[in-house]
Amino acid sequence: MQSTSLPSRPLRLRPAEWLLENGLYLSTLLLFIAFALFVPNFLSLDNMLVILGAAAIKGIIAAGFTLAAISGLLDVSVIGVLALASVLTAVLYERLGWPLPLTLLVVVVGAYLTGLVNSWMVHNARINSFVATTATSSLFLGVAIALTGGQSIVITRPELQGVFLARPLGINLAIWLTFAVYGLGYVLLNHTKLGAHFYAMGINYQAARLSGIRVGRVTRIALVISAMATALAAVIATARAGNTLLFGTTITGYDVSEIFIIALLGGVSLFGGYGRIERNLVAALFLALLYNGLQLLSAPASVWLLLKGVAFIFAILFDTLRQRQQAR
Amino acid sequence: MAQANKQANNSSGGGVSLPVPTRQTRGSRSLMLLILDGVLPAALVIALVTFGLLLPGLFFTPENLLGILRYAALGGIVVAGFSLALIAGQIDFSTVQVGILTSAVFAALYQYQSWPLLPALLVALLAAAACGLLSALIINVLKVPSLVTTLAVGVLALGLSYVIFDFYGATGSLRLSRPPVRSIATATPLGVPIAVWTMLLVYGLSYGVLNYTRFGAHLYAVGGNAQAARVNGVRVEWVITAVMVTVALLAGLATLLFSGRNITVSPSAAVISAPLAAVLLAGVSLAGGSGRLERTLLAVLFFAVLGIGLSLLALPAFVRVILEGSVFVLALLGESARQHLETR
Repeated sequence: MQSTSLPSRPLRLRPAEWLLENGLYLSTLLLFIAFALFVPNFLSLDNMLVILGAAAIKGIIAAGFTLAAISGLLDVSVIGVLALASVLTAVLYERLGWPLPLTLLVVVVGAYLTGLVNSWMVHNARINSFVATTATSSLFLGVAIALTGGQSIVITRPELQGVFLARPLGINLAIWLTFAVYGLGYVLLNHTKLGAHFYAMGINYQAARLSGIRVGRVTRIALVISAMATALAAVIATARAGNTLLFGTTITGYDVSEIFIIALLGGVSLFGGYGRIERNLVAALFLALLYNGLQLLSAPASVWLLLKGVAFIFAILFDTLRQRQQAR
Repeated sequence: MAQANKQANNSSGGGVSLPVPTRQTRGSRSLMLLILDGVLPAALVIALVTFGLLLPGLFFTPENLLGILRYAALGGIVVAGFSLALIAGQIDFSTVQVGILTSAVFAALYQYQSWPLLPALLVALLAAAACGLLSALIINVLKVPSLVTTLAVGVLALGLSYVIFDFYGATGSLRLSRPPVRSIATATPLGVPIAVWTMLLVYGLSYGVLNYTRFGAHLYAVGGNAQAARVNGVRVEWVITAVMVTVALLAGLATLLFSGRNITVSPSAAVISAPLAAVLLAGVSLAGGSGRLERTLLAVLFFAVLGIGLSLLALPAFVRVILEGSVFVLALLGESARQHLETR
């Protein structure tokens, strides 16, 4: 306020900043209102639960991805881990007839190991996290294909679905689990020392290392959490589909770009150090709303894909704009 | 290097700018580097000998060797562009989707709108170039790392091609049966498939450009240190634009040949699924600024030998997926060791 040129700048920037901060909430709300007005059956309770359920699985994956991204690590081994966890669940539970808790335990251990492999590649072998996890993803996918020989396994025992498709208090377990994951992630990031270390490592790796943060340990934890979240999503998705997610040598319905879109729309910086996990929940909801509305309008698949591409480009634009705002 | 290395620094090296690798560090470490360089030719020879022994009278036949070349050709064309981009410090993850878009545009114009061959081809390749241009624009103006940029452009390109698929293809794929597309794509002048000729031409031209032209030197300069290149008068933005457009055009060309051979354009027409693995195996550095195209050709041939050999042995699919995944990971570790040796 002392200088003459200063007061005008914050005033001029305020609407843009406000829009960058709240644009996601605003557009989600607008989308919801538009669909509610113009799409029949959109507002039914069943449809709301469908939207939340769809948002849940991708939201859980995005939560882990975000945590790693905040630490400056891009974990794109999602497809490989999804395939492996889904196949592992189906093979142990359906083919070998293991009890559910034991199956889940092994899946958790498997996810832990994939996280360890990733962190070894990134920390010990010093490979760019994006490339390292691209490579390990194809390796995990290979192991998953080896476990089934490329055949899909139909889940016939009722217990898995009984547990994961249960609706305590009328709401799918998947939705409860999503809230639990985000709650835990929120507390971890905002109220623990480890959370502060995640941010510190993402902002400046060398500075974090020199100030005594055990970067190897933080890297390992971030990538293990990311793998675990993906594995949880895989188990839920397998229960929902009643089938392994792997068809032949590919996974359908899930791809890394969607996770990127959710994280970017949620305001996570791909350079690390910036991002709030709770916003991702809204971003996942936004995408699920969009998909659901388009489906109810029976729009062709191309519209959805095209909108996804446009959303991705816009999300990148927003990310850049936000960085420039902060740099000023 | 600017973008790719910023990312690399973020995850493994931190925000501090690392010293640029120089040639003067050659010494006792040169032996290790020599061994690392020798791994690829050795692996190729070992693979050839192994398959020759396991498949007597089946592997070393003129038809099969030509088959290996043909198998390598289309992917090899894409990988050549991919290497050029990586040398300039840019990763392009949109090759598959840009290729599909190019073929879809071509099929729409040539098959369904009955355009003449050359204008249809031209517009299809323009579509590919536009994708490359868009990537370059985002990289240059917004300073977004190429790997994220091209991921986004890839989604957009796939979305656009689905618009065409929805519009013309009732079954989810487009026909491309109007002559003479198939006879061109499967022509064998002098007994060698046209795809192989194209690959050889692409590698020959790229080799010449990389090693004997100023533009080639600029590619290495931009990949090695974009800031230094700029200070020395290299138009960095222009170089990045040129290289991104080249990759897109090569991806489009390869997929066009692929679709022409199959008389159909499908949304899953991937000429090569993991170009990165081949490029890393060839020792092209992820940080940009180094890499030799003749080694890329060797890596492409290695993957082709592996693919053909394994399919002749009739092993289950997962063996191939796991083997290729392992080669990818090993190539990465080799690259990591090389960088470690060169920067120390």
